[in-house]
Amino acid sequence: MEILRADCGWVCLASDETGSWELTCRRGLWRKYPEEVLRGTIKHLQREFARNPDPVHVLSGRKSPILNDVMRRAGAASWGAVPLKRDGLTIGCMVVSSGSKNTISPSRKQALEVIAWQTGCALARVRAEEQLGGSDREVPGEPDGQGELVCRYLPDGTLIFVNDAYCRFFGRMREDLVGSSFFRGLDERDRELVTHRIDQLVPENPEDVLEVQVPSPSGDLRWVRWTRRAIFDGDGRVIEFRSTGSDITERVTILRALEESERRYRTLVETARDVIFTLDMDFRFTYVSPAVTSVLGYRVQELDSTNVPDTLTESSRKRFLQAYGDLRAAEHASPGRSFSRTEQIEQYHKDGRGVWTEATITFLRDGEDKPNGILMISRDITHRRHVEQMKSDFVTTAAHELRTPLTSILGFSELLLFKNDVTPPESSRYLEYIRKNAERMADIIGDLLDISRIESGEGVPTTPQVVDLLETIEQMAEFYRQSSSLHRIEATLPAGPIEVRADNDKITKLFRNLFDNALRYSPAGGLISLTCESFPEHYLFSIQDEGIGMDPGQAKRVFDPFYRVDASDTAVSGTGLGLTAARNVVEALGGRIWMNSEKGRGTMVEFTLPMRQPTDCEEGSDHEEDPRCG
Amino acid sequence: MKKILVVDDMSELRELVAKTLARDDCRVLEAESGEQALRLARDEKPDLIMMDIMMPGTIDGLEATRILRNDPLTKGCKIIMLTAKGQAADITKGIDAGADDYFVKPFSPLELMRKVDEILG
Repeated sequence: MEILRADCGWVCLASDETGSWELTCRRGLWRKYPEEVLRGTIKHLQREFARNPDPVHVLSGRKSPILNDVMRRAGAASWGAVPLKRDGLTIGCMVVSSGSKNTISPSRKQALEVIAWQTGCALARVRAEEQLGGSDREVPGEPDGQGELVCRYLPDGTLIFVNDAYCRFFGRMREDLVGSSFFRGLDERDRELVTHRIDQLVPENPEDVLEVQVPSPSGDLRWVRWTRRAIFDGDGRVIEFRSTGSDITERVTILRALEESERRYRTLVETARDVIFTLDMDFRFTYVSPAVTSVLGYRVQELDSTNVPDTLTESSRKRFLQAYGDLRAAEHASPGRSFSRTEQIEQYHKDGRGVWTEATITFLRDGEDKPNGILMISRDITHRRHVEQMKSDFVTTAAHELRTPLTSILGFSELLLFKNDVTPPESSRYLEYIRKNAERMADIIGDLLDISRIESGEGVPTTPQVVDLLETIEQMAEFYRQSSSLHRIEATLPAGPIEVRADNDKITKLFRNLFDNALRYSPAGGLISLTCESFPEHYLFSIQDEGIGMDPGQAKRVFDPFYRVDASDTAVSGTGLGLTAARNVVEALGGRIWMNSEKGRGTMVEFTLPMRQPTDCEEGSDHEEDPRCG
Repeated sequence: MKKILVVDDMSELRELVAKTLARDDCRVLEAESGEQALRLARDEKPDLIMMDIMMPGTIDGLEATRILRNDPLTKGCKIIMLTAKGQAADITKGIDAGADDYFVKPFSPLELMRKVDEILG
């Protein structure tokens, strides 16, 4: 029972007189199970096994709705019942159960079957022995022919009798053994177990079972299962113990292996990030892995006997049932073949929101390969769907963003080629437009490549050099003043140079991106102001506009790649890459970037860049240009 | 003398369209926002308006087209929309707003010329 981790176990055997099954042995506590209920259950068991002699189990194998009901009412959340057979005849059964779910797992049911089979063999031998008249004290035991160990010992452990099998097992002469201690060779833990339990034996309950490890003559440890009966005197004092033991090493080894394999799978299932569910054929959860808490917010126990479709949104429920229908159809077409269906479904989180998961369902099968449950593995794809949506928005906007410079390039080149009234000044202006727009396209493509490099963890290649930003910013402010008559542009800069160590192209693009954004989201007449303050070790830049602004939720996400404040806004173009690229550049240079924005009031982007220190030593060609290095 | 109004927020693209459509018997007017386009259309009553769809400000090309179509002064003028959004849904939106025809950016100036000749007769 310990091996099977059961709370309760019992054996019932057919009475020789009446033929009806009676409780012959019962172990474990089961508060909710008074004797009369137990008797009723045994009646059900006898009827059930008379109908069909296969093992019954709550999770796998054959099912019995009546027994299920009886057991559940008695408080057994997991249980299994296997028939005891003697010479092919069902003469009783063994039942184990547990108040907690999934304790008596399908593999433990198999272990129970092994034990039942061995018990059946032992019963057959006992019967044969009885029919022979019990000529020998030795009781036939294990199938390998080695007899059961029999001994008697005094309360202090001194052996007063051992049988031949006992002598053979320990490889010692009887004379050596009698008078020695039953406890010899036991390790401390087992010895304590054996002596401690002695106190619990009383005339009303004189028997117990112990499984201990003892050293065999060859030196390895063998498992022996001792069934011990205390013999009492008239005053209730123990006179001696009579023990019969059998070597259960192989059985323990098998069970250990089973347990280990089950533990391994359990670890696998319980540490997986995907949620693993098993369902019965009515779609009720029979097992839920702990990952459910992080994905759906529920604790495992909260989903007890919940029905899967109840946890799905309306449209996902249809998809789930459709997928299940496909499984059924596939099973019908080729029974027993494993087949699975994967479907994106939306499950409700405990807090009420929908969580998109990719659920794969397949049948669980009994010993005869018949479906008896459903395995469902759910992967949280909320983030993936979100990224997919952003990427698809991006493709739309990137296509649009490339179209604008293309319109100029194609348009003006066609005018140059085919229109005969183009004057020489026009023609050189058109060529300049074409060049500028081709550069703009190259920039967009560069941004894209940078971002894909960063997303794949490669980082952006930079060639840092000393850059004076004072001139760069002034030129840019002038350029935007001229090209956008609708906005007012102010730049407040320190008197001296603004020297940082950076990649010139990238830092220029950073300022252009920020100016573009400020212009793009500002109304006509809006003020755009850029300031730079110097601190002992860094510069603080700030670009402020009086544009449409953002709410806090939008502001939090603006640095995400492909994010655009309103992708559906037809009035504003943009790739959604500008701020992502800006953050990448600033962080690569050791600075920080952040944003303050208020809906309807405007946006302020601020960032720092480390000041170039006089000790900064330049590499390569920069070396000669900088007198402070040496 | 025919009058054509070119509406686009980018001066470069206005120049492209204006140059494309420049003819001796045509006067080309330019507007850089929806608001400006509405004003010019009412004052000048052009024969044709080349309308960009995506423009900053409160009135984009679609909205401007709708307003022009509902104004008795301007509902007679032809409107060709120029859009960088080439999807069917975007085009439907433009036609629903009242545009007579559409061109998707990038477009060929020669084709645009032919189309305008056809419309203006």
